[in-house]
Amino acid sequence: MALVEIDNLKTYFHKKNSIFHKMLDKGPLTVRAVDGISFAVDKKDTFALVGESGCGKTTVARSVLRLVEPDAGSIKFKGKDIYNFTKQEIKEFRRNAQLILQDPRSSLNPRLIVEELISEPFYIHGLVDNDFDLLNRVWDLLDTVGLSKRFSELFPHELSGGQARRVGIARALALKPEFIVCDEPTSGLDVSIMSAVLNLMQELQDKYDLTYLWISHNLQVVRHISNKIGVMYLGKLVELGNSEKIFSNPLHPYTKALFSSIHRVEDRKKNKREILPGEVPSPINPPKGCSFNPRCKYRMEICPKKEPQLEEESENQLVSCWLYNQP
Amino acid sequence: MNALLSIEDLTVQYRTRNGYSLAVEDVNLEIKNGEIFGLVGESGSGKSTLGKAIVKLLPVSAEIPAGKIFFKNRDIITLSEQTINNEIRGKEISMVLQNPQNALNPVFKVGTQLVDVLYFKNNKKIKRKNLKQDAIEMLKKTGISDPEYRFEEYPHQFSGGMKQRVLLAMAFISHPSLLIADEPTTALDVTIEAQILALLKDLVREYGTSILYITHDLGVVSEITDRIAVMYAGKIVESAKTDDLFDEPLHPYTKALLKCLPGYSSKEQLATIPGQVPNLNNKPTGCNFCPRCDYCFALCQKEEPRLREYKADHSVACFLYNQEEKEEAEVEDEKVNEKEGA
Amino acid sequence: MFNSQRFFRLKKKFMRIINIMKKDYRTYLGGSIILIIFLSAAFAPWIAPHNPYSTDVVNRLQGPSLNNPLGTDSVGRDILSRLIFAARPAVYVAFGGLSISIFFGLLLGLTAAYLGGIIDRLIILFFDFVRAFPPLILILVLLAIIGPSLISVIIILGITIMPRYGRVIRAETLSEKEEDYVESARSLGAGKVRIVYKHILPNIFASVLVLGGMDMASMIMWEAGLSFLGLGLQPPLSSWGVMLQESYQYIQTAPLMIVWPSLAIMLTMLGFSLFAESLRVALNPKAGQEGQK
Repeated sequence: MALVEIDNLKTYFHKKNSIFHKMLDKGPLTVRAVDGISFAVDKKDTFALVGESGCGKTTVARSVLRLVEPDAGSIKFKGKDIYNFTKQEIKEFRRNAQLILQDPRSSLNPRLIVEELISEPFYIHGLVDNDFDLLNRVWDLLDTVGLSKRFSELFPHELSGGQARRVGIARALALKPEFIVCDEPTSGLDVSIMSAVLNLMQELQDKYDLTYLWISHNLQVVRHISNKIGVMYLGKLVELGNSEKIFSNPLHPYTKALFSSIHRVEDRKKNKREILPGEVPSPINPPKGCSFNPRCKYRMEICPKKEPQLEEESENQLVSCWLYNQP
Repeated sequence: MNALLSIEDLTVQYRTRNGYSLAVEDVNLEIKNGEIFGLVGESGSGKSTLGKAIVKLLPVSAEIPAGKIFFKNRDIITLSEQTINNEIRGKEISMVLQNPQNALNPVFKVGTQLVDVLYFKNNKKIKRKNLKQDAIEMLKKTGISDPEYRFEEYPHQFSGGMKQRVLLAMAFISHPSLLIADEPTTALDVTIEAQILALLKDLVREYGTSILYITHDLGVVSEITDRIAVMYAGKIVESAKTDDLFDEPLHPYTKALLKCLPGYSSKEQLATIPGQVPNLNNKPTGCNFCPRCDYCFALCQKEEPRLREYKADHSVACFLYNQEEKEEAEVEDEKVNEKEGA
Repeated sequence: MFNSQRFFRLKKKFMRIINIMKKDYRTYLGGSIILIIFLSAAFAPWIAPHNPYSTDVVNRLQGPSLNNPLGTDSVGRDILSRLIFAARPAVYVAFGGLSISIFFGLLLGLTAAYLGGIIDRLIILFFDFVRAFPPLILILVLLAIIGPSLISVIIILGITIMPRYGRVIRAETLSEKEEDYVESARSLGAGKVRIVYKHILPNIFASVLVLGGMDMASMIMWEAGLSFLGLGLQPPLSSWGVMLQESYQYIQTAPLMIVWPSLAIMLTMLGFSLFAESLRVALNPKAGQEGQK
């Protein structure tokens, strides 16, 4: 059984309708941040959600952790719907599922020292019986993420980006979770720091049997760390499956264009870059039919009329495109 | 001299409470006409400071104790603020910054801001009305559809990628000889980044502008630049033609950096560089990279390597590539060892 | 409990703040002014050279002399003694009024920001209601209802100034609420109460402190103003405001008389502002180190 199952998740943000808006009769303003997404994350997987800003990947991450209320669909953690949890189950869920946020420094309260930051989860869940014992646990956690004891007395602004990131990881690990949602965990880090953080996160995954839901727009990192990926465009999954397979043979035109935009040192002489024209349309008023059709160079007659469904094209590779799923 | 910009022994320091912090130290570089020059380094390596020093846009806490910046054979450092403002900034040298969201003034129309560049370039001699057509032309060149209409719009009506196009239009409209681009695509999505880089290449081809491209992204520089300098802790450690640098990196730092990139070594553990960037207030004696270097030997801790040409158009600041000095040091080491042995 | 790690941590943080404040001249200057005012308030009967109420009509409106260092007032009372006794109402008004406004400001501001919706609107409506009246009119109306006395001045000033705090606290809370670290705490399972007192409160406290430092002084000014109008303390009880009011009539015959209470008010304002500023700087975790470039 999958650890996390997401079924037809829809999360909309409703903008407040002002009187002027009603007078102009424009209808309700709804941002379709996530518009019908289904996937499952198995235990010990690293499932990466990739896509450009505004595609809804962060909203998925927050919905999975019960931080945003979805409009439709279900999210199951270990077979139980997280939005039907009892209070006790929520508490347990908060221990089992953790979040690592994008900005390493701003996700730490600037007025607390590292020791307080790392011990906070224990206080929240009432797991402190002896304060000195707690300090030892904090030191152990610091050691796990490769920081020495002396860091426990520093404030977040005294840490470098990489160190702050490690403190964030230690905080997430404190309650021995099974599932960690990582929202752009390496953005803003220098290359040499980033590689160390990636190594650490992989080590921790092996050591503690962690499952990661990895949100990122850095495709090189995703390729390195994930074994499954889902490519999102305008709140929908356009391609889903085995990471190795999709990277070596992307099917959806958007995935192709996205992968072709990566600048890699190895590819510098190839010079065959596909440049995607235009920009992502507004999620308030997405295009009819396939949402990618206005930018797609393979557009067919059916594309603006009917929306393709995510269907299995080959083993472990699903794609939603009329090129593959004949109507 | 055929160089458009040549920087000689430039040092920039910031005054801080704990003394001076050396952001840029003894930097030498040359940018030729029509060339895209990449300046690569991690955060805190001094690359942005160097970019700002060229147009003298450093914060008040910065000082330039030594060095010369020759732009078209004039030393920018000795020029007065007024001369730089009237003759250099926005005319001969333009700048494009990292965050397009904040670089446009939200209360003025995009068109007005664009026309202003031309208006001041012509020392207010031509009326704004007569410059509008040029501005619209420029918007069209940067790939903005419907430029007459967009001309009248405000910055918040533009997306991030569109704003960066406008900023490029503002930079190129005065036909500068040099464009300083400081991480111009970092805040953008990959597909938009690819669009902007393609546009930049087109504009360079058309206007023959030289570009100093400052970034931390090795992938991007590998593709668009002609030559690259790698900075570490305020110093240039290696400088070469782009292909040479990536085919045969010399300095241990460059090598390590390239190994750290994911995708280079697929699924295995990534290489890392142990330790931290040195504190700029208190740099180690000897080579700055020595404490993190795998090849560090006795001489590195004592003396600082200078940037020397190792082969044609490929300079490196490392004793590994400076046989004479290395051997001398080894002889000395042996002597010391003998003495200790005795 | 006092040997626990938590206590050590608190002590360490406290010592850090003290150490930073030690290096700031404002701490000493502001602190000593505040100390003098507190001491005079507490030990007035022992410090004051004379009885502040004993009149001596023969020696009225005298300039400074050995017996009356700051001179005498219109009925021959010793000005220095009256000034010292008047420190009491000043301290009461400043602390009492401020405590009331900060307490209710925090309560309402945090509630509004955290609960949102209709409660938020109602609280804001209440703030606007209080602010919509010119403060003086509001004070006059309220004083007419409860009658002039020190307690009513304190309560009324507290209520009048409270919306300022409520507004600032609400706005700051709303922006802090969106910070990443709050979301991070939420994902760990922290409840609303914990988030408010552990994460939001320490981060908005600096702004409250700055406002408080300034208002502490303006509270005294308001009291002086009300007493000047005859609505605060009633003579013969002395407050700096009452003294101002009395000396106003003699500004031509005994001009020095008005200087002393004004000086006292000014110094108090200065002392509290300086001290609050120094505390604010020390509370910032980035204090004591060089700024990052």
